[in-house]
Amino acid sequence: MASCLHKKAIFTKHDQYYSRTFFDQQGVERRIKEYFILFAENENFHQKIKLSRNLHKKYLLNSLKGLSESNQALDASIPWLIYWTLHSLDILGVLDSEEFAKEFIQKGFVKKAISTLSWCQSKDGGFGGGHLQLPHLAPTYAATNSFAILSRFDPTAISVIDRKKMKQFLLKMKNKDGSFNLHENGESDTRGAYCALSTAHLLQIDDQDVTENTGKWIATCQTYEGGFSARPWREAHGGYTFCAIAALSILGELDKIEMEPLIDWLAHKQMRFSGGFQGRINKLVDGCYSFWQGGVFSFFKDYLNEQTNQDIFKIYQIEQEQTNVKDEEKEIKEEKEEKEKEKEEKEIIEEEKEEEEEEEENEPLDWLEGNYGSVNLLFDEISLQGYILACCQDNRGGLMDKPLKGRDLYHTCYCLSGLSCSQNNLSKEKNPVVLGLEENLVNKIDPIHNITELASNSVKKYFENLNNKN
Amino acid sequence: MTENQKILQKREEELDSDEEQNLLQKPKWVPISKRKEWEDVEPITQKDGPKPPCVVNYSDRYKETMNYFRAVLRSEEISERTLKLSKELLMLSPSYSVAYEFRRNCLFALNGNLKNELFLIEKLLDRLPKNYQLWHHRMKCVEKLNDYSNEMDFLARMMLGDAKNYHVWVYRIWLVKHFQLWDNELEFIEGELEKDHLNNSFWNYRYYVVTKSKTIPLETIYEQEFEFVFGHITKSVNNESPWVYIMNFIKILNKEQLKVLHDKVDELRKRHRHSMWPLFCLFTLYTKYLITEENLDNALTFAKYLGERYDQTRKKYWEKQIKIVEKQKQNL
Repeated sequence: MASCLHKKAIFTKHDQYYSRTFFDQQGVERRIKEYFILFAENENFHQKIKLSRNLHKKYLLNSLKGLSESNQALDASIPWLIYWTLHSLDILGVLDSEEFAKEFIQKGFVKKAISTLSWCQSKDGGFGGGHLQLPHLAPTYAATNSFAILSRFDPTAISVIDRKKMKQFLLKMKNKDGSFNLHENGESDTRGAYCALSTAHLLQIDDQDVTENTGKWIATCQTYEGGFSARPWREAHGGYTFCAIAALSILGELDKIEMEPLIDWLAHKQMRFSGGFQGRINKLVDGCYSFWQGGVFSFFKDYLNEQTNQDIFKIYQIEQEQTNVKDEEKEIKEEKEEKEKEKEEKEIIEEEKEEEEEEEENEPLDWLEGNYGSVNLLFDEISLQGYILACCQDNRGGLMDKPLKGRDLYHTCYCLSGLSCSQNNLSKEKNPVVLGLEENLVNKIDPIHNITELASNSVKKYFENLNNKN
Repeated sequence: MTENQKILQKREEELDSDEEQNLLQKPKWVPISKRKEWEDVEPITQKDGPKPPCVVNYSDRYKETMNYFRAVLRSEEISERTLKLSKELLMLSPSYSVAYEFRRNCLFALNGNLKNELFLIEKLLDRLPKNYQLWHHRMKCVEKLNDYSNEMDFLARMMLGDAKNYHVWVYRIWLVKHFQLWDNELEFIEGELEKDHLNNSFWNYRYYVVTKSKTIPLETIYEQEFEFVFGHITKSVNNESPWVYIMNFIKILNKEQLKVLHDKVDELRKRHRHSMWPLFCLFTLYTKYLITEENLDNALTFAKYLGERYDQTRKKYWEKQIKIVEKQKQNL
């Protein structure tokens, strides 16, 4: 692992080319370093770098009681606010706590939540952002996921959704080329395709008329960079890439795209300095991409294994265990040799010198001991967890984009979702990989819909029962 | 006062200062229920169930505007008063897509002043540059107006605020394609790249312009782009954008072109031994297009250097690549 968790963390290089992008990057990285140093000053790093469960819980439960502080409250819709809050609580395991049972469930919370959401359902199918608002695919997705979470406590929650009209709504939003408009006469993009397919899949109405041509359309949104954009020819972007890959995974059409450029692009979106992800090339790190980018790796784990070597990751783990200590020594030795070699060479370019200085400038932040193994995903899970835990936790509770930004429900939800993806392996035999103490481990999510496995299983069970009855 | 209430209050103040007739004294909001023109309308109040979770603490003014708007939505009334109401609502709740749709219907049906509408949109975009609905609304209005004369200046202003704003580029691509405005785009993007070639949106847009403005084969485009791109790479060898840009062409190159590219990149590798992108590019060339035993060995050396030392964040990615190359070597 590298990043700020490691002594070899290197600031992004400027090559003596100074522009606004570089200065923005530099400012953020300096701030991030300050945050990591806070942990360096503590003797016991593992106990210190922890998920502030109680603070987050307090923030989220307060938001359930009545949103008063998130500045998105006014511009986001009610289903989104409910989904972000409930899903975050579910990842943290709060929904199964005694406190939640006593303070919320026993006081009729589930019924109230269902009735609030049902007020957003349009008479023509789908959900709007609030009462009597026209249906829109984004709140439809959020509402469906919220019902899935609530179905853990009241299985009939799903039955509130009018599936027949939902399907009519989805088909009404669908264009001939396979894309989906977000709302009637609205814009169409990969978000629309994902929201539609995720909803249809969860509600088991993803029949051929809903799914046909959409995979083909999504494939046209892959850019020359390798990632996916909102629409053909736009810039590759983390959020849209997640939407594209999750949708293709629902369709079983991951073979429609160019896998290698995608993985090359995606792998390079994890930042060397912070360990977090950026959404686009040369942009700044943002906690929400922990899920949008980090979560994408979950989808082609199996795909990659099929393509190459089944044992590849097993071998990796054994090797790592054996050579962990030696690596370190070897590295130092190599470094020395390298430096001597450099001295001999007369043609040392100025930038290189600066680079060496930068490396030395970095204080040793190497508190990581032991072997972390791997979650089988092709990115550095431990560094990502380091970024989320050290830099994205607001000390008032809730999570955020990057240091000095404020918390909000959106970032709380997606930082936690990303944390879950990086900790929990999707294959059942492997153990979770957790930075810090074991209590940092959060509930496992189903990345296709981004609800917990508990919630997605509860929906499956509902439909099993329903089908048995019929 | 909560964050929410502060934001709403600010929006209300802005809305008031927008009313032109009251320049001298502080305008006072008249509740819609007290306005004569609205006498005949029965407002519809929001229902969230008994005590809903996640309720936003709306101000009375917001609630009342919404209540009247719900009534208007139901009656589908298109008139001057509903046009005015939709503006009041959008100033308070600028993400409410239904209100835009409704407003457009009114504007188009009543032959409203679309140029004024563009001013209003721009004013709101200053505050909310990433609002999907506003950008979409602008697109629809400009389409209807069929006049793009102000749009390039408008985009230039938006870029001053944030030259990477995704919406700016989505909109520009639509605009240029819709009105066929290709002529100055290449010059424009070269100027912007001169200012900040780390901005990847510029590169993405360049790719769009060079491939879509003329119908020439990709091979020719590559020849035209080569010098330009390597000019930028030489300025800043660690900049991911031009590397990704030029590497996209590798798959269409002939043997001669591959060799020229290889020599160029290898020279950069020798000059910048601590840079990842020349190694990454050579790795791709060696393992996919210039496969020889020697080249595969070189590729392995690069991959090991990157994964084990220089770029440990992608340790597992490089280990994966190493396994693949080793298999390739066996198959030779």
